Amino acid sequence: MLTIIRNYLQIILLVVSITANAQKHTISGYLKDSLTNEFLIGATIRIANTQIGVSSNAYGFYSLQTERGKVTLQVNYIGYEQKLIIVDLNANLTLDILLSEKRQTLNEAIVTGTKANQRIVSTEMSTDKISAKDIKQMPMVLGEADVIKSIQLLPGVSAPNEGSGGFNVRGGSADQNLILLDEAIVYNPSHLFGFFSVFNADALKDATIYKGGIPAKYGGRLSSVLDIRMREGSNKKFAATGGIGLLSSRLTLETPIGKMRENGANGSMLISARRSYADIFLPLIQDTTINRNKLYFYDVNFRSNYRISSKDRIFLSGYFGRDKIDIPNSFGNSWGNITGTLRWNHVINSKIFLNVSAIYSNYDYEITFYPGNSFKWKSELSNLNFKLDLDYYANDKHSIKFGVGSIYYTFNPGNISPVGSTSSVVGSSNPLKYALENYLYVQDDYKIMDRLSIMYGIRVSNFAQLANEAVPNYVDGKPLIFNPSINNYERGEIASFDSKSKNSLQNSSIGFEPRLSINYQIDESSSVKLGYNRMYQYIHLLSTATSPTPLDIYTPSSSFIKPQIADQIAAGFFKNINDNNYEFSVETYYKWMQNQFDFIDGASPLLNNSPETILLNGSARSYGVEIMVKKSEDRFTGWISYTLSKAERRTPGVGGGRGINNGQYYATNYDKPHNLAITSNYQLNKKWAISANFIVQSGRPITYPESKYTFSGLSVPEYSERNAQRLPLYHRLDIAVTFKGKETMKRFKSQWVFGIYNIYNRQNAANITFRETVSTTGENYEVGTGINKAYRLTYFGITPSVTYEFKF
Amino acid sequence: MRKTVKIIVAIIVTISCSSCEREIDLKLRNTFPKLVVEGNVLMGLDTLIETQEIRLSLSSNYTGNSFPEPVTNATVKVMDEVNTFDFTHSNDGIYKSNFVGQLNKTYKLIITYDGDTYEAIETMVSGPKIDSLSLVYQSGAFGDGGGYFVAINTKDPVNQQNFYLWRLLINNKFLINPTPGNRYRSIQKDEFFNGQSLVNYVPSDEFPVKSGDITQMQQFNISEQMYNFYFAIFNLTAASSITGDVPPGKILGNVLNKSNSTKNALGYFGACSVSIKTMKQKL
Repeated sequence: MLTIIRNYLQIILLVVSITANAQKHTISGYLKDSLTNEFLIGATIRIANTQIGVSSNAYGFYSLQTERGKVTLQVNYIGYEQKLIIVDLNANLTLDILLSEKRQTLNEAIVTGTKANQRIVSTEMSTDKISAKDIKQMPMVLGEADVIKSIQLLPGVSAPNEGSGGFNVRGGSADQNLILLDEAIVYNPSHLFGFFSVFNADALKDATIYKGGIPAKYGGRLSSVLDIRMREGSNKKFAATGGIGLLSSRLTLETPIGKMRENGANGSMLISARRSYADIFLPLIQDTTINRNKLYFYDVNFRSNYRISSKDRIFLSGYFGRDKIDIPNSFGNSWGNITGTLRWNHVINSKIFLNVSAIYSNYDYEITFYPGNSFKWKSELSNLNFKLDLDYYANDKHSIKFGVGSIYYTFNPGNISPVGSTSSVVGSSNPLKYALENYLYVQDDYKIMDRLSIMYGIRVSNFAQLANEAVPNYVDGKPLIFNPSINNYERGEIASFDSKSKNSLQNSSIGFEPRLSINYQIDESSSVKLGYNRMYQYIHLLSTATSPTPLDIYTPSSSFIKPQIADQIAAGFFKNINDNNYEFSVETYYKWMQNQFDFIDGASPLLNNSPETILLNGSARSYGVEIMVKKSEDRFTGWISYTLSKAERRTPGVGGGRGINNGQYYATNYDKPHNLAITSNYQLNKKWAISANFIVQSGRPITYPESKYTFSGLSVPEYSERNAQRLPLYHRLDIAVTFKGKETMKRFKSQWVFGIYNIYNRQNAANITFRETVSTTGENYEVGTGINKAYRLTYFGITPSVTYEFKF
Repeated sequence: MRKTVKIIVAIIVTISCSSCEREIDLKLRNTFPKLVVEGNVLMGLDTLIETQEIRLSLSSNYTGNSFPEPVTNATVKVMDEVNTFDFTHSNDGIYKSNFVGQLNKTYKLIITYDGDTYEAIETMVSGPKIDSLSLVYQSGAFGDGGGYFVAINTKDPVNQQNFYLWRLLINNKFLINPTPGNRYRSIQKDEFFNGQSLVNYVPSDEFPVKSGDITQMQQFNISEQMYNFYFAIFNLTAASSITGDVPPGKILGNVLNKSNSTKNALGYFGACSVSIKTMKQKL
């Protein structure tokens, strides 16, 4: 590994010496917030009146080159005052630049100067960024600021359900999103069955979602990347932020570390915690399967960083969260994520920035079945990721990114243990599964001409499943066979077992993932972009549920389950109107996905350690148009997004058996042809601000019964083809009002947020289910009547909320 | 920060009951009636079973007050390798024939109805007897529905993969209702308790017994295919809107239409050994 890195470093340094340009000098440094010294990600710095410019990387670092002499640097960042700096350049210059957050100026006559046209200039497409501030402004259920629910309002992003912790990007399923918290994979982003996300907005800096044109440094999932960054905390002064809401309360503390200097201490630390008290409100939810007994969640975020020298900085961050539900005599469930990131940033020279990280992620769930033979089932997935990323700002035309990494996965498919003395369940555990994913990427941002730039790159990934258990060899290599005599599928016969020595290679696959995006700038305020990317996904979520559940656990690619592959092409037109005040974009995409697995009808993946015996291999396609108008600054901010799309799957049968819906294309669970979201915020005066969301979406596809029959004393539904119907149209309006309290004490700030979710009390269907009604007999037994009815479940009718927030 | 800042927070909780489930009227697409088969060739492990029963009916519209109609004019027979047993209609779509089922024998059901021929094949499954019945007190999960429940005691054989189905009869009446408990209690596979004794196992916790009740527990040793079918049926009939392990799908049994493969019958034809224990309750 180390020799590989060294070789690549040498190659890169060779390129440096070839392309070095004697007449030019380099300006490099960090872009930071003036109050807290926190790093700003994606802020832009340009040489005024030229096309030369870069944006700060994920760690706030920038580097650009220009001719010697007097130049004006123009620095922009959304929500911050523009800064102009004049420098007389006669040598390489290291310059950290502080930007001040824009104070709400309520006099609109003030000209705030030229706004950045970053969206026009950048090769990045199909990408949206939301700051923690945006997230907190939106009206949400019970006033819980929620990053996942916020990105669901972006074009091309939808939620399968209102109470869904997952999201779907451009026709991809929820497990095809790479969710990163400080670069650590978060396997399950849901608290409380998905009603709330695991990310505490107080601890976050911003979140960026890549829906297409995905940079080569990201990989491992088909559809999108959600890159969430935590705040590192102020290195200037102690601060506390907190909130008391209906569902949960939270507290964030940040403090400088080390000796205080003129420009802050060398380090800082932030710790943020949140706990729900949903237990109190549970009786208000009528469904008796969830309204009693134990039910809560909590999470803790931690981040610190320390500057060792002017060139070196280390970061340590982590997340720990847990949900617990327990209904004695019925069901118990507990799940949670743990992540940890240790990172070293090193500025090799003014042009080369190095990031080395060691990252740990873990997800586990535990489920207890009380009925009958009580037992507890525990399943777990963890990974250890080592990676190295290099940003090389070669010259004013090329900026190169290079990296290598390895992810070592440990899958515990599940172990079972008896609960209680009467259980006759014998404790047992399935052998752990191990896998190693290695990757290498290189990407060049190349400014070919003033108006034409291109980002091209490749990621090469390899996934190796390591032997740890005897793997069955099925007769004729078929784990699932169709038996015509019963007209149904059966498990394949196991012919023999393949026992390789521990940790030897069981199965391996390699993926070449080209990434490309092209930007042609028509003029100062408009551009067209084209993108293509291929993605590989080596770990799979095997789930039959419509949206993610706590019981979902990933399974590695094996000789039976091939890696998923997606190809996407996208094209977009970007236009800034009214001096960059309004950003307009329209994008269209087409995506093909291979090796999309689905279960045969009636099969259950729960507690099944040989999923290959119930899986069918299919494909998927999706296409659509996304339109967005956005205003990000001044008194009125917000966006309108509309998506017209289609997402379909095709799952043919094997061995003469039926496919799903006879092997024809069918709508995925999350196919929503129309999706309109309007979100807005208006600052009335210094004290009051009002924000609103309006959402209209097609109902998601659903399967309805088309007849009933009596069997075993029950009235059994016979269902139609899968997803042949749709839930009714979904729409709602949410409003929130923020009132800032008087600043009575020095530094103490407080605000109240009053919200009403679903203000006109639309009874949106989260689900429609069908049941046989019951009646009570003379012996006081509840028995079925043979009469079936349809029931609509609504999660949130009109829901008021109030939250108190403070900061000092 | 030097000063301690005292924060007094008063929150008026004005949360509405906002989650609810309501019955709705829904226009559903209806399909043509299909033949439904329910019946097993049985072999008594502790009692001699000489009469075999097959019930035939038709599927009907899902909603509304229509009930599935019995089928009374079909021809029903079962063949083993040597013999053919003709069934005759007795009442309400129930067809009967007198013969004794035998272990490991393969039975073929042949039905002629409405011009179509339907067939199903199943091999008689062996398995253990119920050793004894007992009573177990269970409190209800939510403080109600508690009481004494009939439990079974049996020993799972170690050298066989076993699948079980239990049926509870109280005062000669088969009792079941559409709850998720059916999936977790009324059927089992021995994957997690192979070779162990099942002690005081309660297959149905919906029907507490009273003193003087005559209770009967039937333990069917069923095939894996039949287990999968029951699992799917129990799943579909206990739909919870929050969880739902298995998505609705076309659940096919083993009865095939040999004349028209697009019109397969619903239901299942089984061949099971069965252990029956009866007990009069004294509480």
